[in-house]
Amino acid sequence: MVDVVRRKLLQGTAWAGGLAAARSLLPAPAIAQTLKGTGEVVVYDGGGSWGEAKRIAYFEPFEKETGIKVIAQPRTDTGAVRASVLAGAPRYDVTILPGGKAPTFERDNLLLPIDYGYFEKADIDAFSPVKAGKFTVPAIIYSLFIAYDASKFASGAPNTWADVWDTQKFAGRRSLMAGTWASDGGTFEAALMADGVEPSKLYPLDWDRAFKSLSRVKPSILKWWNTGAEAPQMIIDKLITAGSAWNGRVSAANEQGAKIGYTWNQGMLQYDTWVVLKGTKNADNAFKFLAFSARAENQAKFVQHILYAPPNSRAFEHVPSERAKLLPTSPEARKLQFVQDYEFWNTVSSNGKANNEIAVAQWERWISGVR
Amino acid sequence: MPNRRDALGREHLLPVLLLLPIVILFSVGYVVPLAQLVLKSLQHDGAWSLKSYSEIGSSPAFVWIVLRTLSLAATVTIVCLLIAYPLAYAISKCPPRPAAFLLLIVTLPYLTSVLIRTYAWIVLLSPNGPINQLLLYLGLISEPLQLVFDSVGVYVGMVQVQLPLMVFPLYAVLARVNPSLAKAAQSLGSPPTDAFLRVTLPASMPGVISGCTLVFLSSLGFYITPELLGGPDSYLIAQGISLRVLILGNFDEAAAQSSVLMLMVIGVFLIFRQRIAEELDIARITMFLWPASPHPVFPRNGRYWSD
Repeated sequence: MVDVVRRKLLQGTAWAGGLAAARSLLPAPAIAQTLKGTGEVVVYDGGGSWGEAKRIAYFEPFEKETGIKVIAQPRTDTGAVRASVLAGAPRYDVTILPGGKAPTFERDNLLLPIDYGYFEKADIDAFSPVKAGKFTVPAIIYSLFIAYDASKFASGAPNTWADVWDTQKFAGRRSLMAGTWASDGGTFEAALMADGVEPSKLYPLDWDRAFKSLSRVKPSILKWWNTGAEAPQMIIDKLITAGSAWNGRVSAANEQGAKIGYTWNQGMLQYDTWVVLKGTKNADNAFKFLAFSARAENQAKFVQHILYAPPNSRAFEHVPSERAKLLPTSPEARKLQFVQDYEFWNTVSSNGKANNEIAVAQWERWISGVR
Repeated sequence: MPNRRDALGREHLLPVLLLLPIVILFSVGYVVPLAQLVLKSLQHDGAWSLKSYSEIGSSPAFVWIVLRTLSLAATVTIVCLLIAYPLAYAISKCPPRPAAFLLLIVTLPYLTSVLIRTYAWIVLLSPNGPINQLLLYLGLISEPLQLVFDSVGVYVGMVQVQLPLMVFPLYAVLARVNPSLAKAAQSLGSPPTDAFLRVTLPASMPGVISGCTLVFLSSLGFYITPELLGGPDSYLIAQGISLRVLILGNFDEAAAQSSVLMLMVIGVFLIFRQRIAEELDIARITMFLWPASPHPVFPRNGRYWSD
């Protein structure tokens, strides 16, 4: 199926090339005119199939249309990105931050407000379920959901977090993301849902109840995962039978022949956002790049290469329905899930610490046995 | 007389000049950043403050994490000693060429990338891995053993890479113990075990102390191996520091925790520094790695330049 899509795309490019030659005689449409520029822009790449999808859907067509050179930079830890901005030499002009971490950059005055002047109004209005922010443009939407060994649970698979916690009914070891990642891992929400809390009543999170629930599942935990590839790999290697995982990783493994089952039920919709770092010398090019990547047709192209949902909902008009139903924001998947509340995670309490930091401090205490 | 003084001055000048590049490199690349780190730990939001220290001092979790790190380092040290002593003893009894070859094998893990080495252990130790499969095939076990993602995995991964730090000082000492001493003891009626316990072992104590110190100190900062091979309880001080730098961006507290770790290392080092200086005797190791060379490259007394 992927090959067919790729071939069609190639045909499309050839056709567009012919059109471009003919079009040089005609006045260019206004939209392309506004993004033309010079120089370069340094953009976060992300590597692997994610980086590849960005290169095909955004980097190369952007260079072609605007004449601005895109320099793709690999992943750096957010701490190092922060340090680079503080040192006055940001590592990227435009980068991607997890939705739960971007507000700390905003709070510490490390970001430039987005100039939406280059954006089409239709694109901005179509951002859903996550809106465009003053400092942030949603980049991808993905799901942290229940994944399991499909060969182990052929009939009667785990369908709720309570099932994941229930090792009597669903035998085998478990893995969840380490609580040190706070909002990124969704582990605290999963623990509360496993204890019977309705997704709509999760926030504000009840820390005591969450840790009590985590203490119940801990004896079954093989290890806490730290990177997205770990959980699917542990299922493939038969080390665990169920746990939490990101949908993009599970689909990528399944496309390569793995048999990982999953359910959208009680899944958490999370998102990453584009941000422009303070101190950039290419701010204008950065905003042009963001306007380009916000277009529905470009996001649709991106989705052909990786199953991260487009934040511009109009992109679905350009995605084949077969592909669309695999995306976490497709209508069927959407109604089983909820959007993680990053506002809660960044709320600062009376002691001056945000919930993201409180979670980490409590996790350290719990894991050392003094909570 | 003036000539003679001149010669003496020049004699001292050469080692100083030769040492100068490394001293400059060491100061700029090591001492200055570490000093900055300590200064950073004494600040909070840009102003002088001990807040980072009071924060970690008042956290019972930090104390437990430090204790857990210390006990892991101590266990790794003991296991290393138990494996390294017989190994170093055997190598010291070998002729020079096989000895050099064996020492090279011991060093190999050091030359492998830590990630590759660690992932290799995950494959080897996993329930479907060759070790468990062999034991199952031989009928020694009926269920795969949990060898990875728990403390066993961490010990295996750490001991493998720390072993050279224990073997080299032990070997350097054991190779120097005069074998006729043990023979003399035996000829005077001492049983071989007694001769070992009363002659060879005490003579090798400096090597034991410096090997243990080196392994213990470098184990305190281990991060990737416990993170990848460890189970749900494996959380050490280096992981806490990395979390603060990479995820939280809380540089003040990271600097404070790093300074505490560094103080612990300096403290232990100061106690045993005499022994370490003696045993990290490059001359002897070099001599045994290149046994063909008739003279040690750097004589022990350091008077080479005046020869």
